Amino acid sequence: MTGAGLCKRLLTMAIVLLGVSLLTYGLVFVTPGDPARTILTQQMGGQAPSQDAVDQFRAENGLDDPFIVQYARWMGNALQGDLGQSYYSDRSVSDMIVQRLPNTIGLAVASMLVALVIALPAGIASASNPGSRIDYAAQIGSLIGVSMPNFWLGYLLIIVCALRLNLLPVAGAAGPKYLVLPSLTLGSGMAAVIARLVRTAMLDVLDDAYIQAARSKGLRERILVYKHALRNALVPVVTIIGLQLSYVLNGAVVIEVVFQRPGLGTLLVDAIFARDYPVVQGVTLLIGVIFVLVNFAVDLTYSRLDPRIDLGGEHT
Amino acid sequence: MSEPLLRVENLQTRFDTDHGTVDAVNGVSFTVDRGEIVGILGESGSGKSVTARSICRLEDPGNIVGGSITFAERELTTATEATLRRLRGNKLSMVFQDPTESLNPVFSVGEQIAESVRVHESSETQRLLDFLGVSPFRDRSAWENARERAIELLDQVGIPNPEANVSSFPHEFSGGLRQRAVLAIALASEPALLVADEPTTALDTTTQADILSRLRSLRDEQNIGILLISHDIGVIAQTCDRVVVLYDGQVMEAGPVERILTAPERPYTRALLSCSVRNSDADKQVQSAMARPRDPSSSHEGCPFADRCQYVTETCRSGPIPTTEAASDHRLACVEAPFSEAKFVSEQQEIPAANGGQQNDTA
Repeated sequence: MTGAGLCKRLLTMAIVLLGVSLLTYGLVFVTPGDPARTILTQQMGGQAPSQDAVDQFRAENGLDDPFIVQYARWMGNALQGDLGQSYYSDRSVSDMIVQRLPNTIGLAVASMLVALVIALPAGIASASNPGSRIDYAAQIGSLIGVSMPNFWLGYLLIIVCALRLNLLPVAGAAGPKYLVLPSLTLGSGMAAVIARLVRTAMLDVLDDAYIQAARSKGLRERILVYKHALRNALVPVVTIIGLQLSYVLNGAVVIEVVFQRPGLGTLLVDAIFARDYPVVQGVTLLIGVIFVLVNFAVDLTYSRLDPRIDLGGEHT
Repeated sequence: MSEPLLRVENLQTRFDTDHGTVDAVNGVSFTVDRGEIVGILGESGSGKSVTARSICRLEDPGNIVGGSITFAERELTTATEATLRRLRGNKLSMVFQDPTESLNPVFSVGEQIAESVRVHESSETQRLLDFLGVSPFRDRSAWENARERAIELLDQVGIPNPEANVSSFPHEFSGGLRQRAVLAIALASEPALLVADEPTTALDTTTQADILSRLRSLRDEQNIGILLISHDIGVIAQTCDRVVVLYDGQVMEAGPVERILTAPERPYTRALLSCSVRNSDADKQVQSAMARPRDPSSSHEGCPFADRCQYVTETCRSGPIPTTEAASDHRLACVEAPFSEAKFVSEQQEIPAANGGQQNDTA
């Protein structure tokens, strides 16, 4: 990892984030619905505001300024952690996000753990014994996991585990117990994708000459598989794990609705339906930032896993 | 006479492919003793690499379907994985053709040598977490010693500045350094037999000469047996004591290098030699015939070289080919044997050995 590579990387990230924020802000800007009218209607308890009131509100809140001025103001505030005020509650967007974020992060981490705990052993076992019963079982399992829509699996789990067997709570987010069903739902889908990739990547690597060479040193199969092969196979796997982490955030939108968990997903969906633009903008920007950071972490992991990969992105 | 270090007897290794079975090695026999370098010479597809891999029991995806391999008084064709592991860690090492492919790109050279040292020290107790380097399970002092030994080995195989290079990764090495590193890994287990499969093919001539002279000094100093696989007559002539000429998975001729390379009795050996000698009046027809190897999946009736042999007779195509002893240590498989010098009279040959390793007839 070179210093120059790191600088280059950070600069790229800044540019990407600038683009993300412009798009986020711009998309809401061009969607129909006048924020001034919406807010005033809300404040007047549902009555349509007069044109004068609307004009006055616009002038007071800088809504008449050109797009770029408004964007710059929003971005300047965002950089200081101020994402504006929700139209419908008297709380700041940052406050609302901070309150919801832990639930979503918890769900993301728990489902990723579930996914890895299932996918890594299954994929490795498949690849070490191709054509065996374990292999077929794992592949069929993956196929089911990939094909099953996660909201459906969520309801299925609620019906069986929560309603019939009374093992776990149906909905909410009051403690670790509430995390089990949502993370199983979200994690199993990811596990299917990751397991298939682990299998392919491991099969590929196990065929390489250096594995045969390492075998000729007298190493145990287990060390060949878990040390020599896995380390090489992890490079493509880490890519997909990074993408899947982003998928967790998308999936969270559905899963949080199914399990009625107060998280970023439900916050975003509610804000969209209510046209609470500052909240939509704030949450979208945050998700964009998380994507970029996760990708950066993936790249850092690459260069840790494979010394040939430099952060600049060149593969020597 | 005591039992040789390695005795290969009537070895048969077969590959099952979509196009039928291929008998890559079809009844090969030879021996290697401590302190001698035996060459296996043959064209591409003659089965020399498969023979080498079979000896180390790395023939997969092929299968050994017949014959025996006796190494250090153990039968390898029926040995268990644990026995093979113990032998590979202690007595039997292999060097592969392409050093770039045979080093794991993600571990440092030192780590890969140290691993081999640790396996050699304790081939039975290889604990996964120790080898993965998970901190509380890693035997730090053992790995520290193994690293010291790795530095010694790097020095021994001629890698400059071993203290610094022990932490290098394979991609930071040149081809020549990589092959030296591979050799260091092989030597870490203090083998009695080193099987080297085309160890210098990917290297330039000066590096090749250096690696070969290292093999010879290893034989001299540590009295190890070396089986050197090559398609390069120069390499064989420069390095080996005895040579086994393979064609189509069968031994054509075997004997001392000087004898085989200066006075070959088998038409195939002569044809092979004529291709490699520069500035000679080598028969152009033979040369073009050499460019057309036999389809390995066709049947094995008669002599495999019959279609390309200028001395072919009816018996060559039909019957089994007898192995005759031209001298006590010189075997050849040919119906027409022994050939008199008169039979080859028109082919004035240079002595390939005189060309040494200076030539690179990979073409």
